[in-house]
Amino acid sequence: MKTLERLRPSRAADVRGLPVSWGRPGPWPALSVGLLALLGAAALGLTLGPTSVPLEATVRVLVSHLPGIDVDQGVSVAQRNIIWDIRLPRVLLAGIAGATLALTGATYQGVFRNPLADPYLIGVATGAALGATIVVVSDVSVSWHGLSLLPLAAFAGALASVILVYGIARVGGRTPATTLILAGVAVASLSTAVTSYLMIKDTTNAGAILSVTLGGFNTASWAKVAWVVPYVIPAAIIIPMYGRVLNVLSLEEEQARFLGVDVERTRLMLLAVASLAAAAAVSVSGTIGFVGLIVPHAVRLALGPDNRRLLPLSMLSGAAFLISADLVARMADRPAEVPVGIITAICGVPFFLYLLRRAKLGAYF
Amino acid sequence: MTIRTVFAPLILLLAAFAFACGGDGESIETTNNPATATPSGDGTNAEFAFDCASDYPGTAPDGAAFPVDVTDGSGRTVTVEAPPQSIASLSAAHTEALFAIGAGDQVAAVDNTSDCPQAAQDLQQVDAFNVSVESVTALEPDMVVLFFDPGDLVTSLEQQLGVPVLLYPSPPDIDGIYRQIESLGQATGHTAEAQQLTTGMRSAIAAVASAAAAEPAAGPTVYHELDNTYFSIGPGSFLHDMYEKLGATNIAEDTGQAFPQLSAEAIIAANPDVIILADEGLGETAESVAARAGWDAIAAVQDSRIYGIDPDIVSRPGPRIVEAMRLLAGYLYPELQQ
Repeated sequence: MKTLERLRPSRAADVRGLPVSWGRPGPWPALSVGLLALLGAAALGLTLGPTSVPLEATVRVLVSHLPGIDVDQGVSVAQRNIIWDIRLPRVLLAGIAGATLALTGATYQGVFRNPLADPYLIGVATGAALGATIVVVSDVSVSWHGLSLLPLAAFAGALASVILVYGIARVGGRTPATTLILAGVAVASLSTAVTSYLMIKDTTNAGAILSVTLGGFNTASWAKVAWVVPYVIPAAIIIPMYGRVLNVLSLEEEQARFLGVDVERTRLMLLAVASLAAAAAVSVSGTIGFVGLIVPHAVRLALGPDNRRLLPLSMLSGAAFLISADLVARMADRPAEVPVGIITAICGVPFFLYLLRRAKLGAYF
Repeated sequence: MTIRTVFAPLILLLAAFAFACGGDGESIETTNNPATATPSGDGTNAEFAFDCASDYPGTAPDGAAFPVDVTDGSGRTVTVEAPPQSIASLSAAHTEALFAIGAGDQVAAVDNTSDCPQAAQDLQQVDAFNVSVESVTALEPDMVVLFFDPGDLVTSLEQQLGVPVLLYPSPPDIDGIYRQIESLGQATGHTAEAQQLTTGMRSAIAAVASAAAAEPAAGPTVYHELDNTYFSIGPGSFLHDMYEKLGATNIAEDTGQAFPQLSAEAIIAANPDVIILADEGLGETAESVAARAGWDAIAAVQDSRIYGIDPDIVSRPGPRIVEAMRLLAGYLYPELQQ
């Protein structure tokens, strides 16, 4: 086995034992596996929960929402509500958040050429937490089209933080990656400090702030799905189209420039699209750590660093992973919830470490 | 990732005291029932009342009982040499208890959540949740009462001040509340009055419980909401014990956790008859609960049996739990409501 491996050309496809003699496989096998995993996770997420709803009833409820079909007669209102108003938006929201975090994580890692980058690197998460906290402590309870003010404030906080960081780091029409990262870390520390202060001063709302900080999908709703989709769609379409450009960007900046890429503009555009999507995701899911950092790396370890397949596969895997983690979150301790961020870390880290041990680091990143 | 690491210890701490305390000084107008309302009009427990607007004049402590070994709510035994004359009570529930047992004159300072009885508001104040050892030391208290112990506060106050420091965390059941009040009575030289108070509370609560038990209607199922992400109360919290004594079934019972977060679908499936909101201060109302997607299938929503309750009344482990029991009895059994 060892000899065999040494004889093979050093290629990422090696890791998965795919036949290398026929050249690199196209993206379709991997994409199909990812899509299958996502559909499987979504199906489990819809059929399992702390309360048992028969599979047949679940299918009836779902099918009855198709136009012209009405087969949910024998199903109780409670079960109908659980499937349609609770579980489906929950699965969708977890999927959207997981896809967004993994995709934007891969984007940040590529743009910054830094394996430690994640969607929260330039202040999205801490800004969102601060925005939401300010609303919680100021005791205003406004809702807008069925959506509470909380996601709106979190979104505003996230965007304000990103714009601030970018504004600070931009010097003479250029934005050096190192300056951007350092400014991001500094601004994040500042907003974390302010959030902590507000939380500890306002004991009545400590529980509410705690919930925002921990994140999760227990209060998922169609309104939240509708709110997040418009910001996520552009990222899901535009970023994967830039796979080749991200490959070039991951070279030295000078080389990228020689190859005809407008480094500054491309980076700004990708960061803007990714940050907008990440901010929207965080505003409805809370700051769920780990997904945006680890999922792209896991995909990279399995399939190699080519962004053309890394980006779509990160989306599919991120969605499948977070839907599964959320399923565990509501099943592990039922009928109580476990914060989903704890599940993502407990289930994801050992798997990631396994991949890391197995990988040949030379071919990585 | 960063935010989680930074917040982790803070969050644990906050979770502990947010739920233990239930609310800060802002009192929320939630009930129409007067504090002294009797649930069934049978009159047997009409005499027990703890009213924040009333005067609770101090009585002389029994000096002959000292020195005395007192076991506090955390199980530590502390020797009190003489009746304390300037207590710093950094717990709203225990400030109420101290005044109720006639030790009000011995209280010199309180925390900023101790808003009841009114006399407590005139005392010197320190911050409840970010207790500054320096500012407590400056008060020169001869006894300190705490409800939580963040970062070795008890030890450092004891070393700093050399006076008894008593810790009374949120008890797991109503009996625990009685024990804490009796322990406070011992520590302050008001053993008899504390005994009298707990006896009064016991019989008042027994009266409410038996009125509830006498109701022909079966005990309802209840969901008690702490916040709009569905944190609730379960076994191991005295609130759960209150519902149990009232013959109600807490839908969070199966979690086995004192402060569980319930799944939205578990709440819908449990189909509670009554919903009690302790989060009106956070903007939740009967209307906002009814408007939640999918909640229209819940009996409490269909029958409009959603009630707000002031967390200061229901979440403080002190004499006001009698009032809390009466209010809850009225919500759980409409016939008991006056």
